[in-house]
Amino acid sequence: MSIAWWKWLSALIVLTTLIVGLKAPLSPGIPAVSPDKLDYGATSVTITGYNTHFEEASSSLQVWVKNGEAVFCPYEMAIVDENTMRASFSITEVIDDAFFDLYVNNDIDGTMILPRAFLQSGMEVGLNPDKTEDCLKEITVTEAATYDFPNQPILNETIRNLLVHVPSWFAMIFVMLLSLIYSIRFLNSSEMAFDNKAETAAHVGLLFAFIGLATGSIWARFTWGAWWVSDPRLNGAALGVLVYLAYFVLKSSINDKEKSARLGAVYNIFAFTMMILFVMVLPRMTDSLHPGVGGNPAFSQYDLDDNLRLVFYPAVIGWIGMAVWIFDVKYRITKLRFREFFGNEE
Amino acid sequence: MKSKHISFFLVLLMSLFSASVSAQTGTDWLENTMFSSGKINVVVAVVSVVFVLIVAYLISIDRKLKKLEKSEKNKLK
Repeated sequence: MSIAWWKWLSALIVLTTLIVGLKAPLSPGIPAVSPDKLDYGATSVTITGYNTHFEEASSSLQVWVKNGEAVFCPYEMAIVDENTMRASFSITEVIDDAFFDLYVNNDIDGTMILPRAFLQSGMEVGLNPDKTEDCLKEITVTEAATYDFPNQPILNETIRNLLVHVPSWFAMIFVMLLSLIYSIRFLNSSEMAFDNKAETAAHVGLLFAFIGLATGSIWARFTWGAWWVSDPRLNGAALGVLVYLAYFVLKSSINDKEKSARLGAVYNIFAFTMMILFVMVLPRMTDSLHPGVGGNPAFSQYDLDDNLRLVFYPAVIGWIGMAVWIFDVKYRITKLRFREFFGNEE
Repeated sequence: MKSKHISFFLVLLMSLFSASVSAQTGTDWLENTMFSSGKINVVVAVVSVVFVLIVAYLISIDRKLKKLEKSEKNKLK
């Protein structure tokens, strides 16, 4: 075996996380309701479930909507099939909030929530909402027996993207860190080999940054509704990429190899600092749609549950391994080329 | 919690050996793997083939480089 063990291992890990990431079922959830408005008086709505068991667990099925502190239960419910049901609400009270959250609970699926499922229509929204009687029976919270991924509103099946999109950014930051370390070592030793390594690592880092930008853009289109939103996290990532593009412009604009290496190394330290600032620090100081930013912690229990973690962390390690592998191949090519031009200087 | 972990490894094993899960012949084997559960296994197969081929390509580049490095070393001697 001429290929190093860690290369095989990281390829195997990435392949495994891809397969498990695609195959693991999504936990039950409520992706949609129709209509998404509750009128003053009686309204019948159709509730669409996903991977739910409305029919099988019909004896324990409960539906209610919550508005502020008030809870409303339907006066009539009908089950159409495992993933479809109808419920009729009658609401004439003064309410607290313009939106109703929908809760569906049964013994098999547990409690499923669709926040802000319904907008009120024609009701009185006031500071002193009417009190409602508590209409809920006892709720049993059942933990899912199978291995599945969380079913979140809006995200739905796209939660699997997390296992590709985020590791690509982790890999990018890791190779950029490598690049920084090589630049510092070049400044200490003035050995051209280190500068070649730093440039190659930054090049591979850019590849993974573009993968991250492209996958994020597709994901954003179908969850946030636009290919690009003017969001601190997204613009920060784009700026980070620009800062590194400038590194290559700077290096290639100087003819003197020694001078270009020295300037490049100094700029690389600046570039890494700016990239970390743009990608990790600045977005955290403002509000953003992107998880891991402002009020949306990426690693909270809501965004990353234990089942997802079990695949996510190996995926990060595997992707970093792949990035280092590509860096290794690319650097060896650079080394051969360098020797061709300058002899065996190292 | 325990049973969850076990079922994780089940999903993992099932996905790694999904081809050999059913020992039946011909169409039965296809019915049980590729046509089941919304045909997700087809996607898994396609993605796996793409990734495996990319890795195979990377391996071949790596090996060719190794040869080149060796011949380069001999030249310098």
